[in-house]
Amino acid sequence: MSNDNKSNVVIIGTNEYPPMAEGKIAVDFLAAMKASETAQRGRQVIDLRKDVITDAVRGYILALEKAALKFDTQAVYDQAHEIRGLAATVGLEASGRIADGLCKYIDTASRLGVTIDPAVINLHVGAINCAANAKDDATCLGRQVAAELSALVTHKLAR
Amino acid sequence: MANSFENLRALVVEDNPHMRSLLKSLLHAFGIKQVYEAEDGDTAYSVLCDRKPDFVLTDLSMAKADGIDFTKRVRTDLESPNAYVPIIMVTGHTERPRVEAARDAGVTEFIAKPITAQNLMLRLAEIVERPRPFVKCDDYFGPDRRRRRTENFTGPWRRAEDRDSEVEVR
Repeated sequence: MSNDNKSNVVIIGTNEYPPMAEGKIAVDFLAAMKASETAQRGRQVIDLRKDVITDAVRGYILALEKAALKFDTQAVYDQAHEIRGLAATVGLEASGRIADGLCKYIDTASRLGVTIDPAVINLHVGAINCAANAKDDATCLGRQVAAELSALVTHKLAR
Repeated sequence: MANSFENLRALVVEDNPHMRSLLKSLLHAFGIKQVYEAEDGDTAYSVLCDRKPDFVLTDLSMAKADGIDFTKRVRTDLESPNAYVPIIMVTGHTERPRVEAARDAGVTEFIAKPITAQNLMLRLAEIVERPRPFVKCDDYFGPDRRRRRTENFTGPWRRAEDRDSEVEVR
């Protein structure tokens, strides 16, 4: 343990507190975390849940649309946040990215005290829904929409 | 501490049931059998006291007590059962102020959603392979927040200890 008297900072070294794992346990754990078989099992877990999570994302999109109709920005943020957290895990990458952009817009506008534009919300909500239902979510079209919406948000906030 | 890595105990703190279930299943698939769950920071703290997990995965935003409150409590509560427990924040929040607030609460690692098996495995390996020193000062207790590794950097150094410490960037 070292003490920097000037700034009253104490540094506690890695050998001065209990490790999460050590010795053979640590070696075995690291080997497992770096094994391709482990990654394969993990991917299978995600694949097995794909349908359930996709249905859940569609439910969040419905709730998002309802919140947008009421212009309930907190509810819009909450639903978009759930979508950005889950959508890309099951391959709905464009939906996740657009939802992330919507969250960033609401968050930044709220912190800066900027009036939130319902048109920006509606454009994002429509795009999230379209991207989630498109067969080509992973193509450049979805990414293009996400990029253009991001540019719109940057423009609005800059103004 | 467990005597086999399969007996390591994990705590998953997440209010979204789908994500919570997914994280638990991923940990099981990785070979970690004992996975406890909580859907908010207050419940998580109780589980932490009762079960003493070896590491924690936590969301940032939760309705009752969020991941930042939970992390601060783990790190600074005088009755915390393990103020040094590794805490990995799994979050969809990419807004800089929120990420900085989480870092300043004392999280060990971040994983940005969407979650993948690979990025979870990487972070879990990281906390064992390259644990970080802890820093205690007037307004912070937690893992060293300096993450910059500059291979060819020869100084100047902010502190004498910096000469000997490995500082990373990612």
